[in-house]
Amino acid sequence: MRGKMADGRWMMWLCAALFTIHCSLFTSCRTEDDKIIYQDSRRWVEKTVAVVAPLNDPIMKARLERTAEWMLKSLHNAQLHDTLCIDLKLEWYDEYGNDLKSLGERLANRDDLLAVIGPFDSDNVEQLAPYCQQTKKPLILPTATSETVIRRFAITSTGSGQQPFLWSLTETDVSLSEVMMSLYANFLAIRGGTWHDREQYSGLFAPASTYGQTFVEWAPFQATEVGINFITCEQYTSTDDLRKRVRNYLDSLPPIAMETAHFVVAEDAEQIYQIARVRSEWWGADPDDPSYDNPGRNDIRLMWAPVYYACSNLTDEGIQALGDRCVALTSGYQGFSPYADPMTGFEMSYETRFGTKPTFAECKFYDALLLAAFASNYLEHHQEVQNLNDAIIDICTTNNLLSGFAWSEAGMELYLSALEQGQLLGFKGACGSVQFDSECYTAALNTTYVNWIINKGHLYHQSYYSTQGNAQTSQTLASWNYIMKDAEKLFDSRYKTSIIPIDYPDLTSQYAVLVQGSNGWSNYRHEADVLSIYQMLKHNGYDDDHIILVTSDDAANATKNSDKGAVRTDPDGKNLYEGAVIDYKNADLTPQDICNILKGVKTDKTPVVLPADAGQNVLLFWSGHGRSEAVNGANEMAWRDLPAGQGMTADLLSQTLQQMADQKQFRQMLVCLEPCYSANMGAALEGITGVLAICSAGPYEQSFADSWSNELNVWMCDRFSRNLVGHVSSMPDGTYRDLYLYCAQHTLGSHVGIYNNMNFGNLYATGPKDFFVKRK
Amino acid sequence: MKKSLSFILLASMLLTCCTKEGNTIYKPTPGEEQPATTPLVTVIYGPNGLGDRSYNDLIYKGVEMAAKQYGLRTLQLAPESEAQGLIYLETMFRQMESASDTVRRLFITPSPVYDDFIRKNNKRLEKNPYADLLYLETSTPLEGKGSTFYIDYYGAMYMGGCMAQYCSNFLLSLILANPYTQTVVEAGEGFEAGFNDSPSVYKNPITLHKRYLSNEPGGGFTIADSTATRIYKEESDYLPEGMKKNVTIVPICGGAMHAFYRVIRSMNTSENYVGIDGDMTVDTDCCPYAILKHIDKVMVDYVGMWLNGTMPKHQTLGLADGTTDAIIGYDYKWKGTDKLWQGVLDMDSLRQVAIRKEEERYER
Repeated sequence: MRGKMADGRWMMWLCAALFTIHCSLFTSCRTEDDKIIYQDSRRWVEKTVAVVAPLNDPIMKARLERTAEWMLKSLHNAQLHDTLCIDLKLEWYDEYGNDLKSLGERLANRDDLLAVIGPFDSDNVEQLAPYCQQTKKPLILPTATSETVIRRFAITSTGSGQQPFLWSLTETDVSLSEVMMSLYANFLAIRGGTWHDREQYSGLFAPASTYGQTFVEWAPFQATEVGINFITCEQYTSTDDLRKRVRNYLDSLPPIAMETAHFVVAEDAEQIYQIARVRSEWWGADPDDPSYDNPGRNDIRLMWAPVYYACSNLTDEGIQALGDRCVALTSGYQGFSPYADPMTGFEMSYETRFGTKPTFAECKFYDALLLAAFASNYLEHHQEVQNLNDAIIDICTTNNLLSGFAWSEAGMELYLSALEQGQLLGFKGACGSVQFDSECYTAALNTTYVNWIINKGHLYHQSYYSTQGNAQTSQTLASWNYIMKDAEKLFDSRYKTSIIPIDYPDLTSQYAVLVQGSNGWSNYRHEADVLSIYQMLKHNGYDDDHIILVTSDDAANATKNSDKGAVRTDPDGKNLYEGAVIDYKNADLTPQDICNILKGVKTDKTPVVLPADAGQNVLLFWSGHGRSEAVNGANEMAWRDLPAGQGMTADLLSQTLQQMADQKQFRQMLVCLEPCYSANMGAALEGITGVLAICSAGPYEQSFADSWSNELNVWMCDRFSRNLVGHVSSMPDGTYRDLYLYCAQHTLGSHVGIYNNMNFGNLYATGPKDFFVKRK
Repeated sequence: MKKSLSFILLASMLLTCCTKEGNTIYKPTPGEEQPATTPLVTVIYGPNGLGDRSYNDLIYKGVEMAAKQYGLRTLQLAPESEAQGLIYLETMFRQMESASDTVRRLFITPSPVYDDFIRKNNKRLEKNPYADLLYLETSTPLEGKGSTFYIDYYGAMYMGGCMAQYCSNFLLSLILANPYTQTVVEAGEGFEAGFNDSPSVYKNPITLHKRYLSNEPGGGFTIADSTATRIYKEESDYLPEGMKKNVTIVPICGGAMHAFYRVIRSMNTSENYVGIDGDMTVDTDCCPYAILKHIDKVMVDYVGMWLNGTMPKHQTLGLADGTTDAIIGYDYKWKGTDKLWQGVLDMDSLRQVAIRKEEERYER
């Protein structure tokens, strides 16, 4: 300790000495021999950035323009001490007024363009990003938060030898959704009582768009994690559709329902106003009659049936523009938006300057401009750095945060002077640290979320949240960490029960029925899932006589398959199609035919079927799309392109396996289901002796794809299947408990579940080896 | 330490704009745009102080308002630790003491954690006639260069204590950061005195319970939300079953108060906390009244005085000059227990009593 202190003092003295020398270099006196030469003290380098923004909205246009003007003026002034200065020029494009594909192609191929900032809307990013991806044109995204878009263009585009091009300044809406769920869970927890035991009737409403998809995919998972029960999860197509859906939801609630929070992913103030009207009508009040306005009553209603919004870029002027009734009715409503860290001071400076709070888009836009300017400056100073993407990596992955906030004029001055002197400091922008993951670079590491509330037409900020938390922001609940830590406990509480032993006959044989329910190039991953299981079984000693393989068989030789003749689960993985003996193409079958195969009913269409043997173990694996009654009107695993109700329904599967059990056609049967909402299928098998189901997703959850291929432009496999194969391959002697825990912990985005264990056997003492490894 | 070396060197680069090589002096082309010479106000906050939505944020806003009003440049730094804050301080002092230009610079720090550094180093600035220092809040003036001020919170807190008798829950929890920090101690004493001097308004008297977040000098100014939740629940345990939520928190604990606000707000119940420093009543009706410190206006005034050369060496501000106050939330009017708005308590008279109390104490 003493040694360290001594070292510290030594360094301080060194600092002081160097400082003195440094100052003397610049302040030495002029002598008579001196010659004065006048020269331009700085060189300006013009750089152009294209800004693709929502200019169709006059409020947003005005706000973005004034934010840009502020930032560029600060940048200009901040560089007047330097010898090399960046003159940043902006070209504005309306992301709603242009053909984004042709705009993207044009911008991506312009050599004179430093970078593209925007689009701001995730759905628009999806159109424009592929062109920037082709030319590696830096694409800085201030507000695109769709998990699918970011994962597709950012994270998975950065394998070995691939250069990142997309720089997303905001975490995906997985985090925003989590913040929203966490606050309600916290509200329930603090309120106390026995809320865990009470019935809950929560619902989610999100737009039917790329943007809304993240919430639909993740919110049910997160809700389950934090103890919120969804009764519906819906996607709306218009404001009118949203009105109707919310009204239907409210009307469906039992009269004495207590826990009735609804979560709405809203796109603008108009939708919040319309829901306020719907709720007012639901409570029996005339939304147009001011005599019904009563803040106290509204508070009680919001406590009774709270509504939480995910809505970014709300403005006072936007709310007030909708009129007095909007101002009156929306008071008390609250929601969340990504925002700036309050510790940067940006929000306060903006408010002082413009008299109103900045929107999420402005905060992030400011940082996007800052990033482009700083990276460009760094690039000019470092000839060895090849391009702006590399420059961004360099300036955003340093952990030297000493320079502090660099968004203000004086802050920029410090940062840029350091660059001029060869020093690279980390920097914090208007929203906080601008840092990216050092492995995949393009995913923002820090985002702050604000909990806003509307009061009389004005937005107030109640509190701030962030993934990591800091002195002034609360940490968002890392809900999936809960299951990572407590999966074992959860499993124990659910399944470690005293199960009556079942007297199974000796094992005589092992069979597997592997089914792909989908077809088409976009469902490549489902065929890969099935072939992956097939190859694992072959590797573990199965022969083709004991595997009935049903696939679409349309991926390996598809015209879109540049990897002709191959199907893989990873770009560098082995060819799973090679040597595969496909018994049936699913185009030739129906779900009823699958039932016949299982039941051993030979027909013209199903000459290869399972034998009927009371001593055989049967593995049934299914990959494809799923439907749920709540969302699609039927609990089923979809069959190719057939409409809802014509797939392998829960009833059909249940009846089939029950009949097989009754007729002693198997000893044990392990059912592994990959489709979305597969919990509904698993639940339908409860009560059938000898059957155990492991399902990838809960009743309202989607099952997630994994591993995007830039080459093929498709997802290559699914997460649950990957984990299933991965665990069984590495731990063939593991127990069912081990398998469940592994899949539960590693299949992020959905809840893997086990069904019918009470009618199967002890999951701690036995394992799935007799399904996956051929006995000798 | 390497970081501090880099930072000190680069900050010094900002001071000069001409270079010399041998006998040749290179100067900027006449007429070329030159760096701004507008006065610069630099603020270095206490560790993680900014973003507290009360005291520090009000200072920030005050400085920004002053900058807008007078056309100044600002650099407001929020260090993440005391060590980083001290490096910033050392850097700024070096810059100001050695600057050879005529740019006017005002350095402000509003955190007592730098007290030792400020008192040991303020004389270094005497070399630069264009540099000034403002250190707040302290009741002990600086020896040598630099101005100080202190805001006496006793009177406003006295008002708050009286008002608590009218609009509190059954249990009034006075949460103090620590028993050593002068501003905290005085504020707590003022609140207690006001509460005790006022008669009970309700049939069941309100109970005042005092606790400290830390027993360390300077401690208790930051806590986690989970700690705030635990403290709130512990306070609730003083109440019988069925009345557990009838707690009103008075958080005189700097940035830690926000943790209480976050926790209490999420419960959507009323009369649960008293706003401190900033006007929290505008945010929600959980807050029936607020005790204000208009530090933002003080900052605007001080920057103005600095610019015209009239910044006082030291002064004590308080309720009498309007620097502090206590106000009832506008939205609180509609609540059932609106005795304050019914005129049962005359706020103007109360203010005069509180001013007298504050003066009597100051004179003592």
